[in-house]
Amino acid sequence: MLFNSTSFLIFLPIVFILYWFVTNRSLKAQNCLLLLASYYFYSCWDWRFLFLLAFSTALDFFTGLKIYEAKNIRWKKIWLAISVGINLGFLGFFKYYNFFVESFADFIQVFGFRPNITTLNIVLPVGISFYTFHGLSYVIDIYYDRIKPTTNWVQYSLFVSFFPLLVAGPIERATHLLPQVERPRVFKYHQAVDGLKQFLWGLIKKVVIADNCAEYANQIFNNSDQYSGGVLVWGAILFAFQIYGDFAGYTDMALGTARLFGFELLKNFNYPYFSRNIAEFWKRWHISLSSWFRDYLYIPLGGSRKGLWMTVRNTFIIFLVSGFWHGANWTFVVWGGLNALFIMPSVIWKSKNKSTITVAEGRLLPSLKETGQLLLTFALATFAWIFFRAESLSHAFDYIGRIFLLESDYNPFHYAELKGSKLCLLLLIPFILVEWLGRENNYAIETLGFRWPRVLRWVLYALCLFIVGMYMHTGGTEFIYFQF
Amino acid sequence: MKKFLLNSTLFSCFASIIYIASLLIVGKLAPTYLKPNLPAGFERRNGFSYTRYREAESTTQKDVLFLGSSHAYRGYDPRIFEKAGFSSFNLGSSSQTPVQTLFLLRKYIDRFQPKLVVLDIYPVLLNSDGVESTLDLMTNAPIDFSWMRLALTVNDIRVYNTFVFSLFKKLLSEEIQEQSRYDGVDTYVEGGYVETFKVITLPYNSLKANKYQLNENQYEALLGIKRELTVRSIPFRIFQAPVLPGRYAKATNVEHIDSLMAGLDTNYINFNKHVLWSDSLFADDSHLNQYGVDVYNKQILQLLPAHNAIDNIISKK
Repeated sequence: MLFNSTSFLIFLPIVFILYWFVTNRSLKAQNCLLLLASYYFYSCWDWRFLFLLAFSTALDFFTGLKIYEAKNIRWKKIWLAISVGINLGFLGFFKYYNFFVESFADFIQVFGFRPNITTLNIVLPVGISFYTFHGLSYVIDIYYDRIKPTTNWVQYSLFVSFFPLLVAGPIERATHLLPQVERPRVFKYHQAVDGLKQFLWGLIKKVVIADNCAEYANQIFNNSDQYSGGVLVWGAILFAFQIYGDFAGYTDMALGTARLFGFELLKNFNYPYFSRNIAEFWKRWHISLSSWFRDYLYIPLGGSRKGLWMTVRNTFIIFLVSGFWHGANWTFVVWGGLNALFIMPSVIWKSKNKSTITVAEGRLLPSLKETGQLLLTFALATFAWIFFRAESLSHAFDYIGRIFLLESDYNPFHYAELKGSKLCLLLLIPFILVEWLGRENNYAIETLGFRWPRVLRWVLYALCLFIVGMYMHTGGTEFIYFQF
Repeated sequence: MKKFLLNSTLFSCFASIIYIASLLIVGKLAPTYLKPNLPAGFERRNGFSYTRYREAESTTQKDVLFLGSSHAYRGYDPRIFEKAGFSSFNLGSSSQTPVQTLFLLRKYIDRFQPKLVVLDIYPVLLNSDGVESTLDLMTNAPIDFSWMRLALTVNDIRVYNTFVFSLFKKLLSEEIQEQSRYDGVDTYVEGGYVETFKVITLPYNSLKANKYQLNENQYEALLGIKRELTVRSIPFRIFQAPVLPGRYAKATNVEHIDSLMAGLDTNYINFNKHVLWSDSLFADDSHLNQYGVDVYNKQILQLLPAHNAIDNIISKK
């Protein structure tokens, strides 16, 4: 079930009404309802993988308790190793089995062997990377005594599988979400209205921006050998907005939906394309994953405490692992490595980037220097996205190579099949403008029209709905991050 | 909570008004590329849906009702059936799939009270989402609120927008102008038929291998059509009109579709198999020309007695 589907349009109000009108007197009933709704939501993809979700949940619930109850550090470590091993084992099998087998076969072929390999037709369970990381953060936090385990099975299950975040995050922490699951929720008018507005803006990002850009980005990437450098640059830019609209749009819809039920989820995007360097970009893009790797990998590895070269090493490790987390393909690993490379100036010179301060804060326009920084950062991020989107490394290198060929007819709108991408340009301009004006808020339209009379504000939201109706892409594409 | 529900309801009403107003303004004033989900180009386009559905509104009681895609309105000539003593009407429309057929059947069955219904199946369309045909119908036919049912069945934003736009255009008395009955190639013939004397120019190079598929919605609609007619005790036939032999030969799974249709127990006939069709009987790779229709319709008239269909018509007369 997609957030932008008709079935969700029916599912959401039913759960909302049952939640606030039928089960509102009992926290237990509310949690049970949300858990059932979440399992139903997940089963709409493939009910068979519910068992995997339930098993993963049971494993972390049980090992969490065992780690807490363990009398000595040795047993704590054993239970942690069991949980981490099984979780990563499942993730590795479903996501990376074929990749490792094929890579191994390719490797030994270099030495003249002709291996008779067998790959399996493995279906990747939707959201496995996300709920595995939910569970891992829970047991690791118990191991480090940051939290106490819950003894309530329903509450823990809901923490892992709460439907707004189940399939594409944000990757929640037990320290943040579990207390919200444990305490009674009170309906707050402004929170619910805010949730609806955030959902609406997420919907625009996904169905208007991402899906329209996707049509032409796919056309250009899938036929890159037929286009000149100018067109390929346009294709990369379209993909940059496709992936942003797709993932940040999903996150906005997830956060908005959660707010309708009285939950506040972690912020996952903070206007990443308005960053002044790649270090800042990574503090604004997929924040819940970046911070997960920071807390559970980078810091345990020593972080930046053991000198420059260890910092460089640790930075490369987390970016390469992050790349690999995205998918079983060398393209993702190179994408991660490139980002590590781009972030090096900030690491080596320890430039205190102003990542917590919004660019041109309190001003309408950025300075000339800031404009240059924004454009350079966007160019670097977009360059790296080419590897993320390409089918293979050779495809990515060929794509980049062709960009630098001086071929005529660089204008994408000269190609009949790309003429429609003019609409993307027309949609992107106001979209970027609204995002820029709203960059100091949680989401771009949060305070847009805040002081206007109600009727004008409603006209604004109604026009947003009209934009969805008139410009949503009708081909329909799934969310990119579902595959991760 | 009360405030939230009240404001949500008020906003829904308010947003609907703003949406409709925006749709009418953009629909009237914006260039085509700025209104992707209000597709243009369906008004009075070939197929003569505009003329056909207006004629249908003023027609009653026919012996035979034909339904289906362009293969229907280009393949069943009411004049030939009239000569054989049967009145008929052709409710075919461009790219019509069983989903639209079921809707049209429910809408017009009481008006026509047919004694036989013939559904022409073009297997390519059995896997269609039905959007194109619905847009054609909603733009050209005299629609009312009951067409919402079709919009909900197809469930596509372009269909919803076109439905609202056409409906309000009609309420604002902005009907499109009368359509000419001759467009330079095709002639609209009373009874819903479209006549052409064009002959295909060969060799025809754009023929590709084709595998037919039947999607669940279309199959459900076929069952719905059968149910609707069974309840009313109206005999129902499914025919597959001939296509250019070279094209038919490219389809790789005709037997699969034939067995599915035969399974519906409707005396299904695939006329591609029945006669050796000469290329000169076709207007293009998919449709018969008038010479072909003459042959085809005579074939039908010869075969119907064997299917007890004509007896049924005569007995009810």
